[in-house]
Amino acid sequence: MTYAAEISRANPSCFVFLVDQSASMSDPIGGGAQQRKADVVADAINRLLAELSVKCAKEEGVRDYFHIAVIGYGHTVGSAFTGPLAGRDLVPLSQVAEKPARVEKRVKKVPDGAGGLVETTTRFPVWVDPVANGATPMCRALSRAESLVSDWVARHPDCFPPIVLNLTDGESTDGDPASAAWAVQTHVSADGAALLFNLHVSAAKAVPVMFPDTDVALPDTYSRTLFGMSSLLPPHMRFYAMQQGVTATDLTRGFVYNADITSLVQFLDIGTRATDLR
Amino acid sequence: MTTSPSFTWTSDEEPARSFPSGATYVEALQNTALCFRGTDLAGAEVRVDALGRPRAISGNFAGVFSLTVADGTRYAVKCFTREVREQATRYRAVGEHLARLDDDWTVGFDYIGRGILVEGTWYPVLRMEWVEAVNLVRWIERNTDDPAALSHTATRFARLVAELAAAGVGHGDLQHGNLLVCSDGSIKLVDYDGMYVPALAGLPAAETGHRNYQSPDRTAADFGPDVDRFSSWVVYLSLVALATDPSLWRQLRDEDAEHLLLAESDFADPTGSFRLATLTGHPDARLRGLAERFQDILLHHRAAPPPLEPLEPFDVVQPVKAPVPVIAALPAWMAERVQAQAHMPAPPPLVRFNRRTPALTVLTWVLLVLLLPFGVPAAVFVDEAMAIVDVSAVLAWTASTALGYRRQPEHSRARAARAERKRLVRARLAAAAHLTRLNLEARRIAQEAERSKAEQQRSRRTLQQRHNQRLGTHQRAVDEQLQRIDRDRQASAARMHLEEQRILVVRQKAHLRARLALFPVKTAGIEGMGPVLTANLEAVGIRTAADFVGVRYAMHGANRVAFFVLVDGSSVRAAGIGEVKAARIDQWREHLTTKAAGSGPTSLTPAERQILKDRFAAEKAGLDAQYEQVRNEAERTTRELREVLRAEQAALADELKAANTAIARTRVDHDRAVAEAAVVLERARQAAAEGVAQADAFRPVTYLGYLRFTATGRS
Repeated sequence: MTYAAEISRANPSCFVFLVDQSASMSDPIGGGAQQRKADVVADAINRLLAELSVKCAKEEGVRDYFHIAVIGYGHTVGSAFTGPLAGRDLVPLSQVAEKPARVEKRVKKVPDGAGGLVETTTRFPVWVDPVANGATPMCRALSRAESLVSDWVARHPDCFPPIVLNLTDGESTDGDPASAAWAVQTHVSADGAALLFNLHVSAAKAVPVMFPDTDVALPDTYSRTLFGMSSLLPPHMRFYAMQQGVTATDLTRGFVYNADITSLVQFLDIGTRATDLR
Repeated sequence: MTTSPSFTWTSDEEPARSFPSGATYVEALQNTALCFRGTDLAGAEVRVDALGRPRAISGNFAGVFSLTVADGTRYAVKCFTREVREQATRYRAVGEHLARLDDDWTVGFDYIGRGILVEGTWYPVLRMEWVEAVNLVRWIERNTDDPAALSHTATRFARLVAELAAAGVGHGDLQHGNLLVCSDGSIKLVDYDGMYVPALAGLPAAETGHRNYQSPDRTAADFGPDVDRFSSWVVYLSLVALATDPSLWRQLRDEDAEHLLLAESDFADPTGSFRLATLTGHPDARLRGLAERFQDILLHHRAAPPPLEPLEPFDVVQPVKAPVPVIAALPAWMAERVQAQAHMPAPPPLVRFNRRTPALTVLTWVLLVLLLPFGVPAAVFVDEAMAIVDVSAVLAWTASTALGYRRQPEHSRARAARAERKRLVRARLAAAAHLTRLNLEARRIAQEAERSKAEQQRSRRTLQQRHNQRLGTHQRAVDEQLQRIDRDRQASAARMHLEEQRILVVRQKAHLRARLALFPVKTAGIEGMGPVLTANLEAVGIRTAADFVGVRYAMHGANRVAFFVLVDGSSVRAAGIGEVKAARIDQWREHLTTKAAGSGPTSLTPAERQILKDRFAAEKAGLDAQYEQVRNEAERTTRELREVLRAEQAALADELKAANTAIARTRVDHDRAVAEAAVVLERARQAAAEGVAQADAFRPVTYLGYLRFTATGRS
């Protein structure tokens, strides 16, 4: 059986996030929101890191069930962490939890439960800042992910397979990414092959295509390439996706096209669902 | 020592919906005045982490937060991250049932349906009393060197299991995280999400428990008072094993592993389980017996295990309330172990002979006193017969002492101990050799993995190179074709240009003829050309300057004769026109020609040119179409080649994946084998050292020692 390994401190797994930082990421995201794509993606990653930290928090603190890398690609390809973790690739989750670049105090209006709105301040840890500058060297980013994943499974041959999540808004500018994408997925632990999920952020007001199981409805070669680059969702993720109201079959792939904010958050939520944590 | 548990109930039925995530609760809990508005927890102080954010203790489907209200009472507040069907009903039933019990494992709670306000919506919370205790794994980590404490906890646990059974309660998820040990040694059971109480009969289980504590056969349908049987065996066997042999904690589990001494893989494959084999092969008979019983359950009763069978009736044990001497409170199976372990480093006392045969002693002394001083010299110097008697006596004595030695009970024990020592030392050597072999094997596996990695990179490169080659060949062929078409196009253009020139020349000639035709010879006024000569010219067809193109001369006898070259190339002679006159006529024509040429056309008219273009258009269009076709076909082929490359890459990726899977499995199996072999070696060393010590205790038990004992009574 694959994708069933227990994730524990003794046998951790890893996530590699690839974040497109090309110039076009400064365009506003589709779906009518007035936010830049780069801001939305950075915000979603920061939220996810906070979420993972909470999910792995136990009596004694955050447990290293996962190690996490955030690789940006645009003007350069490298760690997207800022602050104390700047320049580092795979970081144990407990250190991620301890060392954000800063904790922002964000003021927002929330319902007060009595029909009104009330202003409240929350502390929001930030690890990754938005960047939009340069081309889209996706092949290099995928190769970087491949070497991290390859090292990881060499050190943890029995782990729950590493998951690579690629968030992009454009076509690769350094060649056909399919080969680099498949190369990522040739690295395996005894529990299965590394997973690569792709999300395409849209600037258009197109309807997002969520977790498709065929490429016939996809509009062009580029989107079909991204579809072909994406791993099948393992059973437990399919199950979770269905619980979230997402249609999923045996052929469903970890791929979202023309994502808006909601589908981006859902993609990260489903795509980082490893086996149950205790 | 519970603080008067209270099980209250406030709720409304919740419809199915998605629940906030852990981080969303963390966000909401940063303002407890708001999120608990109107409840007892409003404004409570939440325990925070280093970043100043509420600190969660997360489970699979909930997060627990520590909240202290104004009067100083501390609560554990559980916030759910997924909806559980009939959660309210379940908690109500559990609360009501537990309220009737007087067991000290319970922890009081209130299920509050309108518990916490998150982003405008109310969600339920479970407010529990805060228990100062540590989970079982952490407690064991702190107490691995305290077999007495471990055995206590084993006994307490067995009692807890009995209490649950007596109360008809099934916890549903007995595991180290839900078993908390308080500082007084009592055990608290927390997390009642999956608890069965009789009122819930017929419902499915809300969860199926921790994978390292549950039978692989357990399903959601297993929900009743027996639901904890399997996990209670797992916990109890581990605790008994640790109390018996603390080194097992280090030997049978990784640091930070999420299980006690046994885990999911042991339950799934009991015959292949190293951990189980270590327990069933343990030198301690009682532990071995318990482990064998559990192995039997795994093999034959995994789906429906029997109730826990504790080693001693636990009601025999008095609960430790006052500082009673620890050993007195231990169950019998443990007490001697603890005592034994207390002086473990001291070697066992020497074993000595204690059954002396008087007759043999007398005989020995007689022989010693008589034979040695007198018998030997007598035999040597006096008589052969004497020598024979002496030797016989010595032989008889030797035989009887040897027999006596063998009959000593210490002798057979010593033999057994020495044989055991030999066996154990051999086992140690074998274990060491096995580990060495495995370590050598590790090098081979690493080399194999390296080789495979290099091979894979080569395959990928080769594939790309082959593609590049194919693409290059294709592109060259296409370039050649396109160049050929280009050449054809150029040739066509050149032909059109030539044709244009040709037509222009024709036009110019026509113009010239038309102009020259306007000048008759007779009005030209050429010197010497009268009407007769003009008529002679006309007679050969030359009326105007247009009617001839030149003059040539030929010798006719001795005379040079002039011939007029006509438009059709033929030459004629005109009567009476000699060399001189012909030259004049030709000059006149030349002069006119030069004048006419100046006014002639220099290019075709647009209409003429259009006609010409139209004539060549089809040819050009054909070539352009050919060019486009070649280019389109080239693009299609390039796409096809790319598709071929992708298909090859996909196939190669599958191949590499399969190869890497095999490598990963080999490595996992090998790593496990090494870890197990290291444990086997460590245990073999322990056993061998013990065997050596045991055998050493029989040091005095030798034949010589026996002779001395026979003679002197000392050994």
